Amino acid sequence: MEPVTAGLLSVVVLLGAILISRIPVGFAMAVIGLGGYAMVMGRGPAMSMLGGEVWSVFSSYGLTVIPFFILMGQICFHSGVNERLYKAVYAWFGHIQGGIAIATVLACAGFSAICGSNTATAATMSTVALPEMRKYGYNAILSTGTVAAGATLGVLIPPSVVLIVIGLQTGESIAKLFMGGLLPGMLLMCLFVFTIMFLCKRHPSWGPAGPTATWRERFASLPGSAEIVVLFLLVMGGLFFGLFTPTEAGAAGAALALLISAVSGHMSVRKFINSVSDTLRISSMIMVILLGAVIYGKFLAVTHLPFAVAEWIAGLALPPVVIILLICGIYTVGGMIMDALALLLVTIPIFFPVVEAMQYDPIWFSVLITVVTTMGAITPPVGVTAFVVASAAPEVPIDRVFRGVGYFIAAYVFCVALLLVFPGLATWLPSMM
Amino acid sequence: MKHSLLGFMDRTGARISHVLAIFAGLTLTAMMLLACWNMVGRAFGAPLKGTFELIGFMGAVVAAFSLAYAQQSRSHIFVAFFIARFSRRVRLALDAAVHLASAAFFLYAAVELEGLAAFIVDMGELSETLQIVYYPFVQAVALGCLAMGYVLVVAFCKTVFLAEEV
Amino acid sequence: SEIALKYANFPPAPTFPCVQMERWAQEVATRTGGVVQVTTYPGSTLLDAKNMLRGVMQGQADIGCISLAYHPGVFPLLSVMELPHGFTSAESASRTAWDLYAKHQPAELDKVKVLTMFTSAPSQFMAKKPIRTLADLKGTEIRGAGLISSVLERLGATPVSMPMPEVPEAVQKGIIQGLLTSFEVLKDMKFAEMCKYETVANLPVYPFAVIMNKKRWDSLPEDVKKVFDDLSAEQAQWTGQYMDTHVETALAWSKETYNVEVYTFDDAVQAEIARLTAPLIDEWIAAAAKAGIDAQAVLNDVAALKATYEQ
Ligand code: NA
Ligand code: NA
Repeated sequence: MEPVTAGLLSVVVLLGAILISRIPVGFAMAVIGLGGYAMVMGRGPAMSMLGGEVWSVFSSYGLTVIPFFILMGQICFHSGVNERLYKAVYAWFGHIQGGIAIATVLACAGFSAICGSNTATAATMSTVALPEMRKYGYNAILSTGTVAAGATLGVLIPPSVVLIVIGLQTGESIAKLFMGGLLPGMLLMCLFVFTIMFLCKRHPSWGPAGPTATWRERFASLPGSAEIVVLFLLVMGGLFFGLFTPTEAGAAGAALALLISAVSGHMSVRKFINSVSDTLRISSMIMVILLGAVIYGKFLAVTHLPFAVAEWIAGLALPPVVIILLICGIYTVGGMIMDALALLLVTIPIFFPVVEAMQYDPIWFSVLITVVTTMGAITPPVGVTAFVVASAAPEVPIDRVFRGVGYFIAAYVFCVALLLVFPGLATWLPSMM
Repeated sequence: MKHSLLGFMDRTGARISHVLAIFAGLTLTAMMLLACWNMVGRAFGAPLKGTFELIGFMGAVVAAFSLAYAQQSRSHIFVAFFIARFSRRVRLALDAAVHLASAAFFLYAAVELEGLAAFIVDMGELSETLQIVYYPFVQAVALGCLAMGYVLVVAFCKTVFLAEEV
Repeated sequence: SEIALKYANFPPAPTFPCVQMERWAQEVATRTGGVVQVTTYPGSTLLDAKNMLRGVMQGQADIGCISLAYHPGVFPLLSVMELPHGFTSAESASRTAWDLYAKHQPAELDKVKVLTMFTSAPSQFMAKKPIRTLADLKGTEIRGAGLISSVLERLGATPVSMPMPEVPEAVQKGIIQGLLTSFEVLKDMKFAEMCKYETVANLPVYPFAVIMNKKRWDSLPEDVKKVFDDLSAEQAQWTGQYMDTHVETALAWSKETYNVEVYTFDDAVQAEIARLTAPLIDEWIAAAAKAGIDAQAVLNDVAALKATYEQ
């Protein structure tokens, strides 16, 4: 078999394995990548590749930022920050139609601002927001859809594991990528809010208004979530003004979160241990995905498939805009089936040079494909984030969750269109640095 | 008999995962403090030499030592869109295959990492910046992979012999 | 019949180790009349920097390019090329490196076939403030990796080690004041925009070796082996010259585009540098002697070769 054919075939096998069996995507890529590498290069080289790559990935200084940012988010979660944040937004918006759903989106955005992973955001916001919406008689389509869509903001609003990995892989500045993701993330947040308002207008029974909080209650709720604002400003400000490097920002953020929650009396040894053990679980999941993507990527590289695809695209002689749209199409479909992180890791080496050759801004392109891929994370048939939410709400079948998030896809498409028409949305903030 | 042996293997796996996770947690905390110390030190003109090398090595320990713990607590998300359409028998067969392939991957990795550590010793290679002996970190990663392989082998046995679904 | 070889390299395709790889592959194809076909894998697609040595020894790639600085302790003899000898060009340093290897055939590389050696251009200061004396370096945060950071320490600067991709931002934000490496990054990584003051200090070069899997080498027909061997010294010189031209282009571009100032340390400062960095040479001598190497003879060879090639 020609190596390129083996590469193409492996994509089919990979997707088949993910869809048919209960194999996590990282394991699937690792196993298929190793097997494929052994087929193309021989068993001996495959084995020495395995040892070398596991060590390289695990000991990578750049990747240590991932457990740090997750630890920051977990410390906040276990010290009750996002619960208080949710209560605060709820006090202000709970009384309007769909108000609790709106509060959920805003709280998701706030929590995203300290958490690097959308899976973690989905898991934590599900436990906080779903019971609340159930209590006030919200339709499950709206409530699960809101949480799943809101959780995807975690990837765009910095810090974001996906943007960190793009930065490490392409050499683009992680701080600039963070700044680039900020405005589109806020835009999506607003679009989600509009989507909820629109849905509640059409189906008033989906999101009945909650009780009205008094102004005193509203203002009293604010200090409870002030930590998140302080923390976000410190970490992003520190990055923006260069008090620390992006890789240090995670450690600084985690330490600051610990300090702030300890000072405000919301931290205990038990809570800290829980934060650390959850961090280990989540970051291990991400590391296995990264390891799998790196090994699978090594295999693809030796099949020369990425080069063949890149040459094919370059040889199409289409206008650059059409090529960008084509790439967006590929990422949309890819994002539906695969984990965003894994997909980006494997495909960026293919598309990044093509796009750079067309003189597009790399920060803009990174943000664009992140938005498109993230949309895939909630798109049927296989949205990872939707699955996380569905597993947190066992009584809601997955197709209802997908129906719910379906309404938010329009917001995504609009955001992508705006990014295509106004690249400044992603490039303006980074250019100010 | 089958049950008690597998039960014992399962408990052993849980205990190993737990102990490794404790080390991983301590290392993660130490890494955080080390990075902060370096930042503060640098602000006063005295950064620690080789911080980023040490953090990389410690990160390897964290990643490797939390593998088994994450697997034991079922942290890895799968998609399995079509799984509900299969009979229980087919589902069990698929799970067994997944566990076996994953176990093989991590056990091979453990062997290869041990080989890498031996190679580093053989060549007398030191770390780049601090020029310290660093092969024990490679061996630590090998140990983490070995524990992961063990937990997956137990999961395979439970699927095959006890017909337990994930 | 055709001989297919896999050649792995770790830095991105446009960098000089990869440029020389493509040139070598081309040359070999021409000189063997197309019998030898080399597939190149730049940018760590096949092997990354840390895995290169082992990967070639175990046959993951047939040929690979290793940076000696990535393997402290492994090359007791050839690591002499990492010391501050004051080479002024990549050409003289590359030719010295190859000749030194050819003469001593050190045991540290006897598990592989060495096809050629070359070095980067000398390391120079690029900073946000003028560096004209060693006093200007006092307490200044400069990025330098590996042995370069020890050199910086000896010169009184504060060495900061961080991965290269983080450096532009760290300079821009003032986390560090500059960096110590060869001048091509002025253009290739746009450092000229931030670091307006360049100082020629002729500090150490980074040596590289192109190695081949021993078994694979033994399997080659004699005429092919001869083509490879005949190319070794020539390839070292070609790479050095290419590097020097590239550095000159970058420097000219930086002067024209960003109006950078280029200052050269005078002889008094150079003498002071030699005095301050002498302990590094002593350290190398001690380590080499421990490995059973006639350290003084090697140092004499380096000095003699340098004198020949720097004329
Ligand atoms: Na985030
Ligand atoms: Na997806």
